[in-house]
Amino acid sequence: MTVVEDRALREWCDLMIIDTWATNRSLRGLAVVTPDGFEVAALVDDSSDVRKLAAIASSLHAVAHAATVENRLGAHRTALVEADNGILAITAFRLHGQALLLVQLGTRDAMPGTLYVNARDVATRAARSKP
Amino acid sequence: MQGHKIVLTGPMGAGKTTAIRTLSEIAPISTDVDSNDRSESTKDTTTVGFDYGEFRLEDGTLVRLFGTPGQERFDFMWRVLAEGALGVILLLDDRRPDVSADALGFLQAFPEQTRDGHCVVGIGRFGRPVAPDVDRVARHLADHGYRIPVVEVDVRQRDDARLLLSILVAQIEARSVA
Repeated sequence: MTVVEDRALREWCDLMIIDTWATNRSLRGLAVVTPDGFEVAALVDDSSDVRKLAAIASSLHAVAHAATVENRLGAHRTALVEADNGILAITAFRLHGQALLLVQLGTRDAMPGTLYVNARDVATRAARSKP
Repeated sequence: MQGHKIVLTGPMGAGKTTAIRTLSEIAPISTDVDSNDRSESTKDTTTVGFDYGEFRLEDGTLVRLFGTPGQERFDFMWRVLAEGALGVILLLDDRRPDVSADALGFLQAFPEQTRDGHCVVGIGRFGRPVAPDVDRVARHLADHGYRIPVVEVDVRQRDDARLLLSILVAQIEARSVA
């Protein structure tokens, strides 16, 4: 069974996304994707293409990971893209032993610190979750 | 010295990562992750960013090798990696349903390089009793205006991988003289 076929894992991600989305006004997209770029769960506004977002997050994470390895920076956690009209944060976490990526697409008003806090909360909850 | 930038592309499982590992004279950089995609290939891992390796030609020229992801959903990386590339090595897997369509699709994705003939196509030799139909693919490409060398290769073999690179360099030099 692949990660995207794991119903319990998907349900956990769906609930987590709804919960996180509800408490964050500065998000216009929130997704959990596999490291090879497949959507597990997502909530995005109409302007975002989840399929593309998942693939881009996967590539960015992989390139960031390669950069940390090449420069001996230790384990890679978050890649952050800060731009004029918003922020994209991609954070690695594990759920039920599976490697996953949390993708946060923030609005112009989003603050990097808030996205870090969101990611830390998700990683903590995921670590406590039992399969 | 900046050297030449060459892109290796082709569908998932065609041997791009292997070719770079075979050719590279430095420890290659890889962005392989576990694969959840069984529709494209039975491989356990897949490249989602890029592969990178380096190779020196006999005259000392540095060749920087960039391998692309194979799946179309990563086509944004194809465009990123094509930037500034002098040529393209297209690797194909003839175990896939329509290798000629694969070839055409990838050549069209790299117009800057392929329209000038700065390209070579290698069809993987995967230990099967039947050799890949190189001529059929070459004819198909020629019918669509691509006059590009098509050869059978086993990119696990250094000589085969170097052959691809040599053909590409010859293509580039010939076109720059013409």
